[in-house]
Amino acid sequence: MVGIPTVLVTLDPEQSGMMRPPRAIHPEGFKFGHSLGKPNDAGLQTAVIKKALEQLVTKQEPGQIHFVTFPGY
Amino acid sequence: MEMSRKAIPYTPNDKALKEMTIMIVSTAGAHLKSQEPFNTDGDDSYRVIPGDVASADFTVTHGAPKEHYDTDEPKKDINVIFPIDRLRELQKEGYIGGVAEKHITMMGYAMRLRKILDETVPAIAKEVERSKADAVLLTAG
Repeated sequence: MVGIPTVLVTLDPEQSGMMRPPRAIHPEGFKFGHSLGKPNDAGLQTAVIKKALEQLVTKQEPGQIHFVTFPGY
Repeated sequence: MEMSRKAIPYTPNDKALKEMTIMIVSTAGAHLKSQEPFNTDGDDSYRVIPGDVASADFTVTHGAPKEHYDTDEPKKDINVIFPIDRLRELQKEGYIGGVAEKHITMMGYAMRLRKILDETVPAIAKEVERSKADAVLLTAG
């Protein structure tokens, strides 16, 4: 099986880290239910999604969870 | 779990984002209002979300205590857990190549972990492989 690239946005890096996600970001300080930002804040959601998608095209060591601060949150 | 301690299941990617079709796989409990809600006592099932769905057609059912995960928030705007409108915008501006023709959702706090690992996850992996998606964006509440 060839597989398919994935990127995870996690609010619980401790739990998610146990599953060894190949590519992941953790938006720091986001509450559960706000994986990608607050409701109706399209700008912030897009910023989080772009940061996540960038991981797919960034050469990096697999298995890291990148902690990212989004000032708009 | 044991499986994942052994190795990181890394799949290399040589495509540019503007050439890639993106699928959403989420365990945040999003589903269509017309679909059977998840069972908050435990649920190993998943929902297939058609690609042409409207964001207003969603609701959220999740077993986590409300003080831990307030599902009222994604009910106001499903894009916070299932970013279908955002991905469509990114496709329109040419940032990504496309949005998948289907997406997959399930519920966290689903309890039936053994069955999920043995049956649900392989079934979801098959759905993903059969799709035309080049990559998967995973969200989890």
